[in-house]
Amino acid sequence: MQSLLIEKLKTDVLVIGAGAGGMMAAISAADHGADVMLCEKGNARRSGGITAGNDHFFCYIPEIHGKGARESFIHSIITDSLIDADIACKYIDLSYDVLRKWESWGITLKTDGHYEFTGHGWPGSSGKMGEPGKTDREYIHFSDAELCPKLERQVRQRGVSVMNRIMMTRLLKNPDGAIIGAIGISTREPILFVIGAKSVVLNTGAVSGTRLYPSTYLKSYSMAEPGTGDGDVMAFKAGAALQNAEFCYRQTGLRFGPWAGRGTWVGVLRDADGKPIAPPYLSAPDPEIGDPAVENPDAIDHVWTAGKGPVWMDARGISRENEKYMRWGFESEALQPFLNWIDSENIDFGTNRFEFTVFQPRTNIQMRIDANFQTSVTGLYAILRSGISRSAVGGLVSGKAAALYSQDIESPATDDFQATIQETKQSYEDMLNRKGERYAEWREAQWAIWQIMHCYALPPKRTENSLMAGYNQLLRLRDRSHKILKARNQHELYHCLEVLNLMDISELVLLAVNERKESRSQARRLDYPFTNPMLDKFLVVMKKQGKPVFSWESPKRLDLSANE
Amino acid sequence: MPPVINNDKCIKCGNCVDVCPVDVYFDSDPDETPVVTYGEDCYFCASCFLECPTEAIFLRFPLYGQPSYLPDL
Repeated sequence: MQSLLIEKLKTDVLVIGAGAGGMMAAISAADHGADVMLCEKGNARRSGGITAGNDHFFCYIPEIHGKGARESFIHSIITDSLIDADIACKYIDLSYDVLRKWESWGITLKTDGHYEFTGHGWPGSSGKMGEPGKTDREYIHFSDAELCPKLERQVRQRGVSVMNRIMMTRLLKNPDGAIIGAIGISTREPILFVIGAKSVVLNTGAVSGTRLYPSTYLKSYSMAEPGTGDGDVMAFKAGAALQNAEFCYRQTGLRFGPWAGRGTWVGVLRDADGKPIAPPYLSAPDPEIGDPAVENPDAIDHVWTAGKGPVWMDARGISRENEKYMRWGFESEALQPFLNWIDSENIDFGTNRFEFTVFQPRTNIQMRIDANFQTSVTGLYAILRSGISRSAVGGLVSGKAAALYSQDIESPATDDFQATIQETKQSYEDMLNRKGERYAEWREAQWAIWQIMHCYALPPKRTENSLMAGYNQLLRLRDRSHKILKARNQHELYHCLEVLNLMDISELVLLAVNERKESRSQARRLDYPFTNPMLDKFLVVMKKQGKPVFSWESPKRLDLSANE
Repeated sequence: MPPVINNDKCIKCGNCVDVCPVDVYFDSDPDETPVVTYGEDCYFCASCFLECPTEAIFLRFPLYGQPSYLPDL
């Protein structure tokens, strides 16, 4: 009989999930005097969206962009999606603070001594050399594949306790409703961790599109991408408000290949007839802007519906200098293996085009937070995933807020939670002790989630009837999974707990998509094909009496009359 | 499956086993060349590739992971 050993730990600020956001939160909390513990499901040294670096850093630099540009930066975030204006302002106003800290820590953000604003831009925009007054682009193009280890070094230098290979699974709250810690498991050894903490910062990242929907071409690259909404589910169960489950992001990239670096390609997306597929309809590759069409999944869909597919990324005719530039950009996006593959297969950019497709939708589900990144649960903070710069700002703000909050809090008493701890321990041991073919492996459950979401919830083919069919099937799946999922070791146990989280996420996505009776941005449905301006609001969901309950809240607007 | 370790170049430092976000090398012996236990879970983050001090790791694109391309005639 397998059983779990209980290990009890204590800290002031518990950060769950490393990456840019979690590590900045740990650094920020430690800098404000807190005792900090960072728990990471994998290894903090290579974690989150920055495992191999990352190519673009969103940054507002007053000396380069000018004071007047601040408003256009704010507008570009706000018109992109529903977001609270005060949080959008934090992202913009603190991005330069993050940039300077990172540079002081040895992270290379400059190119040849200047900030290079290339990629993710439009014709007519400027800024390759980052010259003051002549730059209006928002993203700094950089290449530093050691970004993640450099941040990790800063974390360790501050005495933060870095606990790798730990999946946190459940938050603990005292009777007054404030966070007092969390429970988790080792992904390798038979240990159940009970961590007492005065505050918790969640940075478990976005739910990977590849975990909710199968790839459009039979088999996904991996069944185990780490983004499984662990933090969102823990927060929801602890009574926190969540939002944006009904929205999604549809990324584009290489068909069958590694998907990163779409903003780094120096080429033009063209249909089978060679026509550029979307605005700005580039006639030739442009190394300063890339091709904005890569951000247009609807255009790729349209090409196929119109019978003009496939869509090809065409970098033919770029100069050797531009190819070198593109390869430099790829290196920082884990695309060195792709470059190795191209070179070993003798495929060159000069005479070959590469197919681009749209990937699985990635739900935008996130915790509802205030401008200090605190959720609706006292002592619980959360960083929203939306690019490395914004994650880092979230970490900077939430780490400080959590540290200051923790100063006035008593040491947490996790021993009062014996019943919860024992119940959790028992449920995990049950999974470890199920043997034989009458029980199911986690991969069966992952396939079942894929089936339900693909068949009933894939945008835009959603209707109330399809969503409810999916929802009912999901409830049956979840009920059965709780009874028959088995794990042969801690590694399989962590995957079982992930798929159970994914089922909870799927439930919220299905219900939220159904609740928003309109089409808006990528939240599309066939039975309500138009946008309803009365729904210019967040759809918020909270657990009430054990069930998800929805409400609508207006985003905080910009106060244009206020002085800066 | 994706990570292929060259036994001759491997110095058994264990970096790859330590950093893999999804523990593809789970249960490897610290004194031996790591084994790819869960290769099908590799999502090409390239962490092991970057951490290997002797370039002993080659990330093979599986048969279902070959980028599609169109050569000029």
